[in-house]
Amino acid sequence: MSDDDSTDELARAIFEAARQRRPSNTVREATRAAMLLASGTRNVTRRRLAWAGLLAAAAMLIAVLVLRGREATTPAISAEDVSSWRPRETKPLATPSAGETLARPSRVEDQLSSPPRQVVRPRAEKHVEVEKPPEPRPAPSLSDEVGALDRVRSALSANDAARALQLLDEYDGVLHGTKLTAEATLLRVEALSRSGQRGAAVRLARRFIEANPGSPLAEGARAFVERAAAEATAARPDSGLQ
Amino acid sequence: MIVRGRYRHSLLVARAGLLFKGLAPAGVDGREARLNALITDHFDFIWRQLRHQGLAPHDADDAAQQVFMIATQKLDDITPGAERSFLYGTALRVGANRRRAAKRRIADGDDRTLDALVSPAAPPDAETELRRAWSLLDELLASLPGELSRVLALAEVEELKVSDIAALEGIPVGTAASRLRRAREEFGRLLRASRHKNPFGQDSG
Repeated sequence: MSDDDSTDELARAIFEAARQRRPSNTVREATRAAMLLASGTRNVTRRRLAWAGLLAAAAMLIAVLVLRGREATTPAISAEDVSSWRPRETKPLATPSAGETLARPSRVEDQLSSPPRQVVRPRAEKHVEVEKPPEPRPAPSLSDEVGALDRVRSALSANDAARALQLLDEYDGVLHGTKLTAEATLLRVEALSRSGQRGAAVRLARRFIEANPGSPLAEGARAFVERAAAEATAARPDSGLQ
Repeated sequence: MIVRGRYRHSLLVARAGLLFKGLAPAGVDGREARLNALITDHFDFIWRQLRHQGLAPHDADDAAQQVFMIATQKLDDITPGAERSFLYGTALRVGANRRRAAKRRIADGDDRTLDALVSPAAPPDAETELRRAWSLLDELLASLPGELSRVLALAEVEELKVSDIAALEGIPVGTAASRLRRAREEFGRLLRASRHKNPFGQDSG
């Protein structure tokens, strides 16, 4: 094989190796979470406003229909009706006469008068139970964590923010995830926002930004905080976001 | 632009129709699907281009995230089907900024915690060879002018056609072909001079 041929073969092997190069799943999935957070809030807000408007219009329509129906069925009150009205007669409350006491509930009285039961405890057997140290919890694998957060995203996509929050609590408290905590935090911000807990979502987003000021993922959190502030100002011009 | 207006109009029509049907607006799900597709289809590609531009693994991670956050903000302005072009152009600008700000070039082979392998269960020898190959490739690409290293990586690593390379680089097809020819010649010369660093089956250095 000539030098040129061997060089070409080496080059092909190097390029083939380069095709196997990948970024870490952590980086990829954390970026995905930040993108969805930065984008999802705006669209959720628009959708909520649209639904709120639709529901308000429907409520007004129903109210009008009900009022019109009541006007048609409710008879007018005449002057004769008003003049013949008398208050209802009511029974006076029973009050104890002198020397009489209201009976206490018998069960309570029995309990107070009867002697306390004597509880005889068996003598503790002589045995020493050694508390076994808890077995160390195996650390979740990256695929476990990715799977757990995939289920969170599925819940959010199905507009089930409550379920998403429950799954995130499981990620923290049961799985004890450590590799995708940034992504989990951003997903929690989104879930809190979608569940109506906007204040909590903003506070969490701000804490994430403070803890990760230079991270590109913080851009998604900043965009969310800015949008939330703008929406709060638009809704209530005389007050600011807490 | 007209395309943008048409796209938004179609989204509004779709949303209105689905609202009256009592279903969730399609626009929201469509946007999420588009963002997911951006990541799934292009994240690895963009990340590799940033690495080929000379960014260290952690810089490439940050730069890639920055590229995709920019795409998220400008998603409505990206013509459907032109996502890769947009991302590539953004990656060139972000990568150039990062390189200017970087305090060291890629020469560190200790990127095992950041560069993932397709087959994590590969035997240690295969993993070592892969990492040495990556390191050598980075070193050789860094020795080429940027315009040559980019077209070479796009052709040889990403296996793109010259016409696609020209579209990404924003250059005529003839210019792309000429640069690729020069890049291959120069890369071959550099590789021959670095035969002692063959990462496959030999100790480097």
